[in-house]
Amino acid sequence: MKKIYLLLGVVLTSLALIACTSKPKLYVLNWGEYINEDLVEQFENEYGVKVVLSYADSSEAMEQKVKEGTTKFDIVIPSDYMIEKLWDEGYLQAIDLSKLSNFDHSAFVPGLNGIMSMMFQDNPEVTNAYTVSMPYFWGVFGLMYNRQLSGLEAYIEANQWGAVFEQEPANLFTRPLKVGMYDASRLTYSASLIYANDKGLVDDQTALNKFSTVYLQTSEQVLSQRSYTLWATDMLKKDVEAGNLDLAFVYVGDFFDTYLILTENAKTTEEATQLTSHIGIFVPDTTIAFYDGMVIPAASRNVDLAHTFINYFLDPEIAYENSGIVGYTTVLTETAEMIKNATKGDVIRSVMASDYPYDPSTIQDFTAIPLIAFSNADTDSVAAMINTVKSK
Amino acid sequence: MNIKKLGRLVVPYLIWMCVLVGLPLIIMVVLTFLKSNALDLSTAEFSFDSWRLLFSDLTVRTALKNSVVNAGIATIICFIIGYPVAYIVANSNFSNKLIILVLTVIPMWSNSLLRNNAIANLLSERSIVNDVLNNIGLSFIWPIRGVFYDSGFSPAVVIGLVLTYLPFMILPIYTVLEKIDKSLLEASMDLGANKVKTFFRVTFPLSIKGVTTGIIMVFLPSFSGFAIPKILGSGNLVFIGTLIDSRFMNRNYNFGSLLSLVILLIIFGSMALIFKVDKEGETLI
Repeated sequence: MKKIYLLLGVVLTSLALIACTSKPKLYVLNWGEYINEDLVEQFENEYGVKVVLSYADSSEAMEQKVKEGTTKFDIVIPSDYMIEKLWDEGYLQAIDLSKLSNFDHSAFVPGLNGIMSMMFQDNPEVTNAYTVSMPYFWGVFGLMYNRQLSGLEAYIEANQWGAVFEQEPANLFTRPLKVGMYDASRLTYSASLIYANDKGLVDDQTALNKFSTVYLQTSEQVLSQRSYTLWATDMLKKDVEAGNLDLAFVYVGDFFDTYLILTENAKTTEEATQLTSHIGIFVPDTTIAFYDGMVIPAASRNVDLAHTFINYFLDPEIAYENSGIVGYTTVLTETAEMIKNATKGDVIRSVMASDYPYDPSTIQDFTAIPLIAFSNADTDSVAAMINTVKSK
Repeated sequence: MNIKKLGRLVVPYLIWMCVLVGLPLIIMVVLTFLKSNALDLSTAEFSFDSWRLLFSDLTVRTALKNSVVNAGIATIICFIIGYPVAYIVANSNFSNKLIILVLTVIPMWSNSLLRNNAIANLLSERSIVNDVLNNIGLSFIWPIRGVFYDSGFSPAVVIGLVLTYLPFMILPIYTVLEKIDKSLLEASMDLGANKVKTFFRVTFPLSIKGVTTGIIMVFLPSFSGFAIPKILGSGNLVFIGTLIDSRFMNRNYNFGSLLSLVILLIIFGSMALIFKVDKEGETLI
């Protein structure tokens, strides 16, 4: 009798396995905590497919995975400069805009068009950047800080990037600052060069997008000015929130992500303000702008489904649900309006969007520069420089 | 069936080893003499850059030092904790010793990354542990995560390594202790040695093979791993594992391969040393 049950079990399991494999699979390579997984499930049910999510914590890590080709990804969501690089090197295929019923050039927020128009400036073959990548989220970089430490807010406003890169004067605060640095070499390098330009260490507004041994040395010098409590990526926002860090260089979206998590169960805006009273975000006068876009690798084996997936996230309603979990700034005007006017009744999100620099196009008097791709050898040199800084 | 016929059964294994170990090793050696973009050999050129960098780059030296220091301390702590545990279990009267051993292995059933991230949380300045300590009136706050010394010693990394690799120390020592013939201990007692003397003159020398195995099995992964230092080291310290990770991530396979070979050499070196000492080949690897 036991044997019959066993046999039945084996048959059922193998049937279940066959059922699994018969569904078309969509392989998606994404950043951590960067998609509303309920929507993924909804997509799976709606189209009868299986979405396999993989994660990477930098554009370089995504590049590595795409080039390795061990997994044939159908959708990857790298940042602007990496999209350009992967396209130029032939690792991507064009997006067929006619397959995207939700696509409309005018549907995107104004600030984003600025970044999109700067893409592929030295590649005249690409006349429409939207055929290479479909914007997913966008934003700028900023400094997330602990609002409970008195004097810190004023100090950051006065010193801008210097607050992160310089050792603060002794006895200014009750204790030494605990500062976190983003552990993605390209971002660290560029931010340090914005600071260097602010301080006159280099005289070049576009230094952040150039690689040279002189700038490499400048960057090393800047990064050696203080020691950092933590070099990390997704951990930074959590540690500022928990009070383990006072200040960290992060994506502004990391702040909103944290904000939304903290206010998840809040009923009123007062309650939300109170729950988030310990964290703040500051955008320096000159900063890095970015957008992350969905691209279809040349090796994709499920191109049509990839288009369906892209189209799905272009639906303003879906984008609204997605940005409610992710926190980063939406790329769609209609979704931005829904958030701003709280049309879905989410007053807390609308207050968040109006109180903080949620939509970069509405911030006054600041410069946001998108990054340009470096060659692998240059990126490697930058990474080696940062390892040298850490080993000092 | 004679031994020659049986010997043929090894052939598949040899092919397997050649393809999956031998060939990659050769490719790695070749890569160290090239300057190439990842594995793209069409644009590769011959170059000694990687080798020059190996001897000139201070980062490599610091990384090796940090890795040795933390792996060394972790191994010593594992031994100090692991030996008594193995000894007590081996000499206890429990009817089912296996259960106790399984208990030491159970934590390994959960994903080690998850476990180390949890440890990172617990070791933070603002964590459950410190909150509780604060609430019961102890103002003892030691932000273990993020603390590191000039020697490269990072308490958080060592804690992570010990918690992850401790079973690898306990199990081989237990296996050896279990096998010791109890009549030897009785003989020692008969001849007038007390318990302490018996332990140091009989038990410990007989268990040294297990200890060696334990040390190898804890030290080597601690030395070459990159995940635990990355999670618990707060990104402040370079380790040889994280350095290799960073090189491969930026598609510098040349220097990455060279660093991997350095680790390999160190591992082979320590193995050779052990086999020289251990002529009977009793070390359980």
